[in-house]
Amino acid sequence: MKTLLSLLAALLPAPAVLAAGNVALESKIFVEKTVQDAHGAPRIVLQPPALVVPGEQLVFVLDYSNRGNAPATNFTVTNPLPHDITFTDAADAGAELSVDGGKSWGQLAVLTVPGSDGKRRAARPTDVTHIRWVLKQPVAVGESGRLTFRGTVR
Amino acid sequence: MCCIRCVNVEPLRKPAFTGLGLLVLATGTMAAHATGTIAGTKIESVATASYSAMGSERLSVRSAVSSFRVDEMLDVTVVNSDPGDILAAAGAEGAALGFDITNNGNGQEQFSLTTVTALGQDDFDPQAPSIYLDHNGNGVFEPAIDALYVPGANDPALGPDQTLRVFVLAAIPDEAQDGQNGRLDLQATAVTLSGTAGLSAAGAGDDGVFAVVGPSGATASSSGRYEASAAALAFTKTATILDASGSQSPAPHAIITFALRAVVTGSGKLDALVLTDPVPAGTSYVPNSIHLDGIAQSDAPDGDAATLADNIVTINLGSVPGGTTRLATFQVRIQ
Repeated sequence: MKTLLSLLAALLPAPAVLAAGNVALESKIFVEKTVQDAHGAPRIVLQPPALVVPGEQLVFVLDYSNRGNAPATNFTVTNPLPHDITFTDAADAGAELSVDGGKSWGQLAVLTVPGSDGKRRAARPTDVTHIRWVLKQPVAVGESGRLTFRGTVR
Repeated sequence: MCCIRCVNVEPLRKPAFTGLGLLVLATGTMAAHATGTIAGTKIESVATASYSAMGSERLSVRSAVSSFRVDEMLDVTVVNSDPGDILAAAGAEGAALGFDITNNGNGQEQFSLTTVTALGQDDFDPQAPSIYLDHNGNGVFEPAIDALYVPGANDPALGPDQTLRVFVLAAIPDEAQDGQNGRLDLQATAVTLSGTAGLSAAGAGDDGVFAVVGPSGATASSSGRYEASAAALAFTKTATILDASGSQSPAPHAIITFALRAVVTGSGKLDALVLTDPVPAGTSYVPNSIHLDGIAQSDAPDGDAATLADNIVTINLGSVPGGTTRLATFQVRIQ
């Protein structure tokens, strides 16, 4: 997988990185595809989103790095769910979700939304509007990290 | 959330490139999705990081926008809409077979239509099929309104999830026997591209995105079936006499009740079936004595089935399906 990613990275043009202060944040989208390996076994690989149709699984990758000379504290990364994308899951349990446009946050299991009958119902993945990560530890000078979540094209 | 995919708790703090390896358990495959995101839609994602550095105020940084455009999946279903076999008389043009063509893709697509009649599992091949497009969407074949389909000239264009009813008319061979079946397939195929699922063509989709063949292979077909019908009529007439003394002799003033029984057999029907019976000489008709299946009929040429005119009883049975018996009675008095 790491080999694959380095290959991918080599194939992709370097995306523009916007840096304010001393932290860089980069967003990438990949699509999960099932391919056959040399032995004919199915294998899931991540590819650039060159060919994507409804129903396909995407992986959203956020790479951050602290390029400054001071630790970044209370480090929070927020990603609104793109339109036409249904949240699937996050690769780590530290992610918090919002189903109300980023006003309140929590795990999906504890979130509720107004139901069609006027009562509140348990939130579903399709209700997710935002995902965020609040890192408990500062991002040290020179440190980089990756956050990922998955979504499906509606 | 699926726990199998959420095992990466601690790597949050690890240096980069740990997360993706854990995503290989996923099963992302191309699935048929009705009402999917419309082809050509641009999907954009952008993230924001906020933090403090050395006690500073909150700083924030936005990522560049990552984006892609949704490609066009080509997918179609065809479903025969008839409630059952369509009865059609041997040697005649059959009634319309109905088929619903649905664009299950996420873009605008034209479909070419073909019929196949040389199929197994039937008794005869419907002949000279022609296809009509339901012009006004009412689901009913209207020869004066619905357009004859001409391949390549008016291939129907359907938007995502749009359904079109088409009709196929074919003739039933002369030699088809009552109750025999003839099958006919209607096939719809995406004009842009069809074949193996996953086959793609750059720039061929809406707004210049890829066109991709969906799970159906971008082609689908469904069978309609004619049942050849024929019908036969068995007709009997009986007379019952009742005179004033209660005997059954044909004495003057005795009443004769005639019973006309029409028994229609076969899977077909007889159209415009009319029974006529002149009042016998030497008798006079008993006014308003006609009954059809036990229900009194008037003699006047009005809304009911019976009339008496020129001393002839006429009973208009209309269309009578096989398996039906109609019983008409009327009375005369011996003069």
